[in-house]
Amino acid sequence: MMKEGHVEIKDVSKIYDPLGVNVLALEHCTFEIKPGEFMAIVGPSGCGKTTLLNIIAGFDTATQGEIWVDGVCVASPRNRLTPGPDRLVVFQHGALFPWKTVLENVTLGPSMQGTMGHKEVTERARELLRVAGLEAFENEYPMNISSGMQRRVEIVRALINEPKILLLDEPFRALDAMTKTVMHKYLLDLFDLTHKTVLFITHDLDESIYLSDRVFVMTTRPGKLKKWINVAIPRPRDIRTKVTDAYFELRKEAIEAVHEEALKAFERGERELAR
Amino acid sequence: MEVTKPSHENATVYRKYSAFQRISRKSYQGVFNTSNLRGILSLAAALLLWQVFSKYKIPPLALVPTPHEVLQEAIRFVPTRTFWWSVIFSSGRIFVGFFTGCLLGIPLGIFMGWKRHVKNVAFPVYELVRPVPLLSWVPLSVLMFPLTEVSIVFLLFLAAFYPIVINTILGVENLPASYVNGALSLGSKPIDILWHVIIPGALPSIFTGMALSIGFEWVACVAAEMLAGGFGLGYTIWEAYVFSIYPRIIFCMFAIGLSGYLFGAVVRAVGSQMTRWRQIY
Repeated sequence: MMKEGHVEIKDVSKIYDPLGVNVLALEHCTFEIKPGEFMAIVGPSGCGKTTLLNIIAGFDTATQGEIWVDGVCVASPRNRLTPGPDRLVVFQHGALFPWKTVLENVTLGPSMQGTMGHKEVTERARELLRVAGLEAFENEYPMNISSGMQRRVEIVRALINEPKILLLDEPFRALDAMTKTVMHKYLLDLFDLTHKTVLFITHDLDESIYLSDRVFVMTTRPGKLKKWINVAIPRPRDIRTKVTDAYFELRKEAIEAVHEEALKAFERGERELAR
Repeated sequence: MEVTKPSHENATVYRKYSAFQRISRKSYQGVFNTSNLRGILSLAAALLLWQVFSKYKIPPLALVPTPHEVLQEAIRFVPTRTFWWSVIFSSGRIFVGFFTGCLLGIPLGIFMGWKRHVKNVAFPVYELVRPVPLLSWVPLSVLMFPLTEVSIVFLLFLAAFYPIVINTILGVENLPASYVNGALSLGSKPIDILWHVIIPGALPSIFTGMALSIGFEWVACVAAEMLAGGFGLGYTIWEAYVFSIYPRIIFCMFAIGLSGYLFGAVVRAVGSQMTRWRQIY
């Protein structure tokens, strides 16, 4: 049997029409994510990364194009499947329920879906929490743990549902640089353990190369393909990967493209402010 | 330029305590700690002022009984059956009014906050009726219900209903959309979202509404009893006024204050017990 988690994005475009002004957010995005692949999308703020992710997740509708997951059309202009645990999202600003403990948050998904028994899901949750270095905090409320821990809990909470694809929307955005490197380590560990298909959205080029197998560099709005970067660095990776020649080569290759788009986005932002 | 401090300034500086602090510090962890002592002092000062004003017939308190007279009346009145029946009647009415207010107000508020079409239908009516002062409901309430008891409880129901509904709506609406989206992503059905997200998320706000409504309950209760009563602390105040037993009026006022405080304390205690996740260590 073919491995789960094959995602095809076919010619997806999105037009927002908030005030009668058509804003083209995404333009003809076409690519596929192979089962078990870790793919990153890098692009400047407001380029449509999150829009694409929301369309895949089912929170938004595409204006044009289709998205297929394992041979099922999950999104098209005419219909979209409701969001569900097959396409799990970890949000930018965090959506852990503060009224549930770490363990309750993690076990919530499977127990709501009824896919696992109580004992089974608790065991699995403890196992994943251990990998994420959180076994001592399972009975804490989210408010009482650090933001780095909260993000890890959230990733574990997503992974325990065995999603076909895990959608990470700038999950480490609000963290400081040091915490971020620790988060990367845990994310890589969890990825090596589960090998789910991952779509990781970020505006941090370093992060995207370090974590992923393939990087999709997006242009500024309207978001479309600027450049593909194939990251052929073998796994498991660790912090030393960041000082290898292969890593530097890839950065050199991509940094100009990313910077160019960042400048364009910035200039447009200035123009819009000046108006 | 580097500034070096004289050596004695680097030594540990001990805090200097005032005489007042030294007295109160002894039992710092106990009932008579600094902040409580301040409160006790201010209460004593207020009582003293009251005693002086009413004893020497100084205007606003010229006809008001002294604290001493009130205390004597309390000792006389507390053991009587009339007093306890008044307490039981008022509390019972408030309990029923508050309970029905919660029973109808919380679900209505939740659905108005959660589902836009419910709000579109129900909110205009609610918002139009809400500014009508409670007391203006008294005649209508008497007309609407044949039993006086029911009309009083209806007023108390309204007093609880308004603040609970509005606070519940706000509690639900202030929940970040990412909670609901996150729950959807985890495979929630609508009932799961209600149970795991909407209700626990709105709970702090619901309890704020409940605590507020306890205050309104006593206002409404006393007013309703004075107008339509028969029993109850509000009625007892009115009766004491008619029969010129002035110390009893003041004692009943104290009794109402204390009962209101106790009711509020119970609601707050239940509330903080049910939202323990908000306590940060």
